[in-house]
Amino acid sequence: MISPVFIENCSLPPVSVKEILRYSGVAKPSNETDKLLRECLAECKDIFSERVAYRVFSITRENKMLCIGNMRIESKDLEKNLRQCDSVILMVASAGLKIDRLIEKYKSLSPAKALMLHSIGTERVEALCDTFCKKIQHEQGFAFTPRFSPGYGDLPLDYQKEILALLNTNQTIGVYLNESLLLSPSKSVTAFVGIKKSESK
Amino acid sequence: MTFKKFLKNNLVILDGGMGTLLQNKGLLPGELPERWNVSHPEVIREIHTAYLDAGSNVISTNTFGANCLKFDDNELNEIIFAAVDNAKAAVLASNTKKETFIALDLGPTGKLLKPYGDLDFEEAVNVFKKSINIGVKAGVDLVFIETMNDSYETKAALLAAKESCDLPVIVSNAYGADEKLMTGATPEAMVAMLEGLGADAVGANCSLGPKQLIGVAKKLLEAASVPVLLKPNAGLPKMENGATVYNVTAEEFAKDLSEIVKMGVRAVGGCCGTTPEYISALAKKIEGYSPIPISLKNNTIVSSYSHTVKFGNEPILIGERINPTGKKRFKQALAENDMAYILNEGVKQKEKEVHILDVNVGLPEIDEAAMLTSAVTELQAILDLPLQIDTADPNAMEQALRRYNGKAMINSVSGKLESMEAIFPLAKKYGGVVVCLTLDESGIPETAEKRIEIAEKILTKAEEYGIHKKDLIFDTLALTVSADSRAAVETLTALRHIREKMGCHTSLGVSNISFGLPVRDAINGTFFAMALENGLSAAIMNPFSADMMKTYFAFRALRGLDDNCADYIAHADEFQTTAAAPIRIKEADVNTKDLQGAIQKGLCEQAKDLTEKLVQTKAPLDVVNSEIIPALNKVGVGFEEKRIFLPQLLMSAEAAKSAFEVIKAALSETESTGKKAKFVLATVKGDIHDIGKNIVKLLLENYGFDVIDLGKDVAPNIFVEKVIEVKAPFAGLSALMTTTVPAMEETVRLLHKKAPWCKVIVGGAVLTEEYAKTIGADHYAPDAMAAVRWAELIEQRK
Repeated sequence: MISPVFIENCSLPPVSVKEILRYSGVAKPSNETDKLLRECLAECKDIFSERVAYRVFSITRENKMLCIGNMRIESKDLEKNLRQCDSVILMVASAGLKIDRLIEKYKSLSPAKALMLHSIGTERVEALCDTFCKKIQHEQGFAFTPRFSPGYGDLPLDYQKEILALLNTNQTIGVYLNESLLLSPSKSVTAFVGIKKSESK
Repeated sequence: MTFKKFLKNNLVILDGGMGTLLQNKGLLPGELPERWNVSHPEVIREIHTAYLDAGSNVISTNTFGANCLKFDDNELNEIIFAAVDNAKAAVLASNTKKETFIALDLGPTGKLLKPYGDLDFEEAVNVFKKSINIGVKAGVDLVFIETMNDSYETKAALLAAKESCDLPVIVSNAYGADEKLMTGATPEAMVAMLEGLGADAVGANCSLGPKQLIGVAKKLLEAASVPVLLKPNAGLPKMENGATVYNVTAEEFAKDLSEIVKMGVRAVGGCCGTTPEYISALAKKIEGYSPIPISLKNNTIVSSYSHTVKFGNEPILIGERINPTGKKRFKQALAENDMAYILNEGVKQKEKEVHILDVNVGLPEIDEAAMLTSAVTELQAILDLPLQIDTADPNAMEQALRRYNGKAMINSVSGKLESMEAIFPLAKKYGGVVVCLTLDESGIPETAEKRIEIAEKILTKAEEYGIHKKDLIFDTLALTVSADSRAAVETLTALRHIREKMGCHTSLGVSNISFGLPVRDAINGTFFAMALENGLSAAIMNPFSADMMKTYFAFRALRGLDDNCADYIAHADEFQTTAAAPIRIKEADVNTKDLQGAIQKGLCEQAKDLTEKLVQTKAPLDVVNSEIIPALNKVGVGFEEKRIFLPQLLMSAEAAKSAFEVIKAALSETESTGKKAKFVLATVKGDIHDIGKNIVKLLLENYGFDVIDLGKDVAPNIFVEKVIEVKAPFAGLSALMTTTVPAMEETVRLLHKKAPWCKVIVGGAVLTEEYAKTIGADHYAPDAMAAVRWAELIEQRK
């Protein structure tokens, strides 16, 4: 079974200052660091995309491989994650291009701001993924496995290519893959989210 | 009949979706539909025929993703020829009596263009050209560029089509629910750019159903002087009994689209989820409808990647600060290829709310074409203001214009035949609003009459190139009133005539009027007001001049352009301050009377002010050694001892940098800050992330190293060539991803071979001490401070 590509609009929660500081390598913020963070947050008002593209696939297993869509994946770590699952959600979330533009603007003008904005962007896209998972679990009554992205464990980054193609992300939410397997916009995440058998409808 | 002629006088019915139909016939997820032209030609032909029988005038070949990034040359050729053959066979097999046309269908390349992706603009143009050339050879009637969600890539595709063939080209973009493209463009901005490049029709497709696209359709219709097309989806998909179903029926689709045709849309069809049934319903519904005539929209408009600026009753401010004339620091920045300086000038002017930025980097000793193109591409990456490309070199103008993401202002053309013959063809090809200087081979005329004559001459010549007067802006040249007391009068007389009698917009470089006089701002401000009252549409001016901004806001309030004088009131405070002493003590904080404190706290403005005070009594180098360096060291140690963290370290480094700017300016010609060794830095090939590298650069410069930053995605040979050229003893490489480490390895290998004297330090999120050793690096830096410490140590040993 394969669903069409769905686009989910989520509502981002307020930022987690703790997480942003953690991404910036700050154990304890000075007054100036706090001020910098507030300034950067002010510039980030309403610039984040809240859309996640996803598609639901049945999983079949052949030999040691997980067959999802047109992918034949040999990964012990992913198999472990999806052990209890018959179907899986492929998701791509992106904080959008505007944060990349802002980071780019400050890269040469103020590396301090660029760093802080980069951390804010990371926090936002992670929050988007979390919000999405919570929302779908709640709406559909599923139980999910922890999301598992290419690059984790023994699951190569290369699978991003197939995931983006299967979700048609170029057209649906504007996410692309570079030659070096870096996602553009930079604050984007691809992931497998397993739907646990026992509790799905 | 040609498609162009048909489009001129008729409603056009496009076809519907292909992808969903192929999926129903067995196309697997991940399988490339274009291959079915060769493997399942009968299926493709059947679908095309069904659309023709349902009433389509235009069928689009099954070549949406047929480009050389997805297929090798042989297969690409095979696929496109097969696709066109299938379409031709379908035309023969169909029982339609209507006029039919075959469109070569092209979608996006699948890669995002630089700087946010890694596909180069010219490379994108070539990718499209390849496909288009094959399609033209195979024999199509038009080119259909569709589902483009990036204005820049759309430009690449349209340019490729225009440079490859004479066929009509229709262009459709994918708009989001916010009525903008993914990369930010409004429908108005797209129309400005696409009409400038010669699109025969513009429109929207995909993403949304007919009702949701009405807003975009309306905006397109209002802005466009060419026909508008619309190809919506059949609404949104959902799962019903294990199958994918779209939530808009054929009947509803036809009804909604018929209303949109009544609004003036000239070509309609369907995208994802639509089938021949939808087209049939549509064709029946609009049978007998008459096409609504399309009027020329007499608007003077420029655009950036995101929005348009329209010339009208609202005065337009064009920031003039990106220009080396008379600016020592700017010239130095150009000579050193210091793009950050130029970008900063742009950012500061944007903060002053100018509408357009003039970009001039004309300096005899540099490669102006290259510098101008870089400046334009880098400015448009971070700022959304339309740009005025300012150069006397037609080659530089062409290169920059080609790469511009939008519809630019072209500064300038004059009444000289040579100038018009060089610039008008560029304006015609790339689009743009041309600033026309009313001077010619005889120089600048003294009288208004003669200037008006030249303006008429330019207008007539422009018509020969097919350039409409709406795309011309006349500059009647403000000469200095100190040399000729009638200078202002003549300029303004000509200005008024051109605006009112000739019906063209105008611009002036306002500050020229006061050259040679004291208190120039007083004359400039008053002249500005006089010019605005005499028909000035746009002023090239200094937004940091309080007098100029005073006049601008006051004029708007007095002319009834400012409701409740709200803008005037909001900005009134700024007019009070004179140039010298803005109130900077906003950063009120404890104990920053001393420079060291300001640097440690990362207060840039304070650091700058305090340094300015200090160099009045102390030797600049003394200030460096007794205040700046000790402050940096305190912060550096704090960082290493994990009391101070990265953001603070960077803020201090930035504050130190602004202090150093003052020092540099204060030093005489012969003195120098005693720059230490040359250090070449780059992010390796394939990697486009450079925050870390920029941090290292900032710190190294603080500590006196002469940093040559090659940027990101730098090929090994380019890097090594630079190291050899400048005989740099130090090289720094950064890589973020496992996939780009091989490029780092290659660079290190090449460096050791060709520049064995150079020591290489490497860093980046993905690296470890161990890996650095494996690839032969001389040192591994876990963070930026470590890199600085290592370099200093090596220097001291020498």
